[in-house]
Amino acid sequence: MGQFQLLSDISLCQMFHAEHLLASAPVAGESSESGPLPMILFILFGGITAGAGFSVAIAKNIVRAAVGLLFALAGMSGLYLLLNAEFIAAVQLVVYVGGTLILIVFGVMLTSKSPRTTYAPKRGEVIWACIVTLLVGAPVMAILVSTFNKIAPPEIAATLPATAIAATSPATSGDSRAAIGMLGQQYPMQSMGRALIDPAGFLVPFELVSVLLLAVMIGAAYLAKGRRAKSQPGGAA
Amino acid sequence: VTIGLTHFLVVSVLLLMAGILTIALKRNAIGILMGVELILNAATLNLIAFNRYRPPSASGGLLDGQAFTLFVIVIAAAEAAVALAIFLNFYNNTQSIDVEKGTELKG
Repeated sequence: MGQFQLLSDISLCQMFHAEHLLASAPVAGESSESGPLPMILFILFGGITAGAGFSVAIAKNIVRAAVGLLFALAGMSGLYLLLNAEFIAAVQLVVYVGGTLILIVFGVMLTSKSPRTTYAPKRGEVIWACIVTLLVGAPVMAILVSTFNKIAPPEIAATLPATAIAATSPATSGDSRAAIGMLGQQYPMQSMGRALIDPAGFLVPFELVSVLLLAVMIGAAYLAKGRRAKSQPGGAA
Repeated sequence: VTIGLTHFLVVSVLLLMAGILTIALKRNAIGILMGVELILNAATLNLIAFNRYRPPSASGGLLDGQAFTLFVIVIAAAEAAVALAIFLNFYNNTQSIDVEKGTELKG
């Protein structure tokens, strides 16, 4: 176990390489290669997400933009599944696609006189928008890719943990299972729930978010019906 | 063929650029809200990807990135609710959802 405690002292770069060693160790007897399927799924979901995102940007009709947003959010859910965040993928589908997007679509329907109203931006606006986007996006892309290309070992397949768990969990002690960490996490949802009610974890933000949701519920209801209640008292309740 | 951290970061940056472009190009207030949602999703994809590829060190929880993402999703939903309520008021006042018409606060 000493080697894992040493991990906290060495640099980030070495730690990522150490993770690679750690990850490949449990599956030494089996093939860690799971075929081309993860890459195919990544290209599928990533392409859907990025393409739908840009279709939101260039759509002239707001309803088409909403449909593009639907595909972008659903593709994000697939990417979360590839990253072994099953719970977050489900929450993304339920809250974002099922809740926030429906809210936005209702907003579109309530605020447009005709669903076919379109707005084509002027050529100068398009040029300026593209310049700003490239000014922000290109440096971020360059920095992220150049930095994490070096320290992220490409050998970690996105589907590794399932095989790693199956290979190690019956025999290994709880100690090394904790050391394997999320790579060998058996019940991520359990630890997620524990982290949310752990005072040393996320208990305070969890409670604050519940207060925030209450405030938002009251505030949104007040904002949305305030004017109508004033004009016709008693009829809006 | 394996997927590295960089692949997800590239998708995330593309989403960020799409969001900025959306915010810059739309005059419909709800379109701008869609751009904000895209940018928030880019951020959460980063969080999840780093959480997945993080070193299993002792400090910090194993699912910190996923917990952050949960809070981001909740706050995005709250933000959308408040923003749409404001937009409905705006539409009631100006009979339009065009942000160029929102000049009431101009001194």
